[in-house]
Amino acid sequence: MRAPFLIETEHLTKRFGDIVAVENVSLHIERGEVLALLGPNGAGKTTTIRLLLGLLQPTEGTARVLGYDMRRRSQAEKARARVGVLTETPGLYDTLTALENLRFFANLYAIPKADAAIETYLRVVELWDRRDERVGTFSKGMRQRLALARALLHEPDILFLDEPTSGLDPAATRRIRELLLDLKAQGRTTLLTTHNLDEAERLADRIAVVRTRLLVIDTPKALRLRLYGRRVRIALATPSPHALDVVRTLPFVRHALLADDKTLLVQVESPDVHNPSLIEALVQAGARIRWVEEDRVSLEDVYLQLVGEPEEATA
Amino acid sequence: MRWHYVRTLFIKEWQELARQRMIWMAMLVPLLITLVIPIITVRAIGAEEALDQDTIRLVQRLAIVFPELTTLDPQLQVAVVMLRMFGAMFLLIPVVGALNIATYAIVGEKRNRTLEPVLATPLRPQELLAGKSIGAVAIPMLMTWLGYTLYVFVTVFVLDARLRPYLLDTVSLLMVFVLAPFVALFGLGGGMIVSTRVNDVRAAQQIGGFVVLPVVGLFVGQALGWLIFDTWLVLLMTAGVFLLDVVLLGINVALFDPERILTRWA
Repeated sequence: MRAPFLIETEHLTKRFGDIVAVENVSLHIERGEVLALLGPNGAGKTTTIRLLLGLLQPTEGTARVLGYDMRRRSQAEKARARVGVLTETPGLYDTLTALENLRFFANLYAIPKADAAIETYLRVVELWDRRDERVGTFSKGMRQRLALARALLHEPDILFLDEPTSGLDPAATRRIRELLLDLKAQGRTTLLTTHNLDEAERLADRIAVVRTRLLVIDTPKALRLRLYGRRVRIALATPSPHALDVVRTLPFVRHALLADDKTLLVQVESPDVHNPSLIEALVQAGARIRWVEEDRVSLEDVYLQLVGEPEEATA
Repeated sequence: MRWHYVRTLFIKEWQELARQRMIWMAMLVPLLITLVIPIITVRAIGAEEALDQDTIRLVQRLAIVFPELTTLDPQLQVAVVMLRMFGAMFLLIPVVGALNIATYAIVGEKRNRTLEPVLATPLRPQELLAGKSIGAVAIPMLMTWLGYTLYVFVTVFVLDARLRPYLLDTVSLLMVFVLAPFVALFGLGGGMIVSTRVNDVRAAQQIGGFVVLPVVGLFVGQALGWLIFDTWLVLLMTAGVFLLDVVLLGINVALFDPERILTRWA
């Protein structure tokens, strides 16, 4: 029987003494879905992955991966055989060659046609020509690509990618992202942790913002709408001191502010319906309008509103 | 225990260790010293005219183990005393080798953060411990046995065949083939415990040096004539080291818990 969700957590909690690393996190990830776990340092992202791998025991709650209860060692072992992991640091053996590193992991995963799998993935990450070189001589980007090959070697059903582009230069980041986009196109179920909002938005179907607790989970588009509604940017030809007061009196305006003395940012319930009345009111108040456009709220705005404010405000 | 995993780990450990010159040097230097000693000893003693008082005392004590010793000519008596004394070096190679390999294996994994990807595979912690332990003990033990074989060959077949009963006797064989593996396990256990607490190989080896001290003590004890190895003493030492190994194994099994590895190893 196929599990309806490949990854499920219910009220997952992990405490280390008095420190709460993960609190009451409930997540459900479907087959083929890419979920980005977004949060600041110490938000519990890596701990969540370790709990999902069965490497840490939850203090409370449950974690199931591929239907296996990850609290039970024998079941966690079976699940790990079908999960690929890219840890926060590549964790490769410097004195071994790329080939030796992958052969070691191929044996640990008991891959039947190991040599063929190793060649395939070394070619995918463009390291086949460097296969006999020691990993200690590799650049950060090459190590990360090799670690990604290691994570894919046994054709896992699920991928856990812990900050895959952290610390890489722009070129290496782009190369890794291209590889991750290929994986997304293949429909691999993936849990990705990242600080990088752009990366999360490009790669993920849904984003879960965490800060110990799960603050919000939704699609990138829905997150923007949910937190900001739709915002209109109005450029004025000359500064208009009364424009903001006028706008704030309108019943359909949820929020308004001056970005600078000639730019108004107005959050309305429905720009399609309310923009004409908004513009009319401003013109009647003597404002001279240069242009009006719907403002695109960045995911960064959403993220900073969620994690940049006191927890009580975002709960 | 699934031996496929243990073997995989052992092969990886071997591949890594084969490229670590310092570890090989730490085992090869005492081995070479031990091989050179019989040549120098037996050749030099041939020129001696009379035994000094200390040597006479040692010969008298050794005669308890080998009553026929006193029937040999004085030069050979001295050679036997010296060779028996340096035989303790075959306990030094396993303890130093296992300590060095264990500290390198653990600290290296910690420094490069290589354990988490390994733990994320279906491998069990006890298989990880077994793979590392076998690698750390097997290599110095092979060196020890190879060294002992060469030692006996050089002494008996090249230098003087009359020395044979004193190097291939029960005590020597028990020391090299029974006590030495337990001594290696002692070095391994001590090295692993220390390595979980520090992040530098040299620091781990320096702190772990305490496990070498009892073996050095045996060497010094013999040199001063306080200790003469006989069958019972070797068996008693084997039992004592075995008990210590069991205690160290228990500690290491507890330390090799994935949660502890990921969160508490320094």
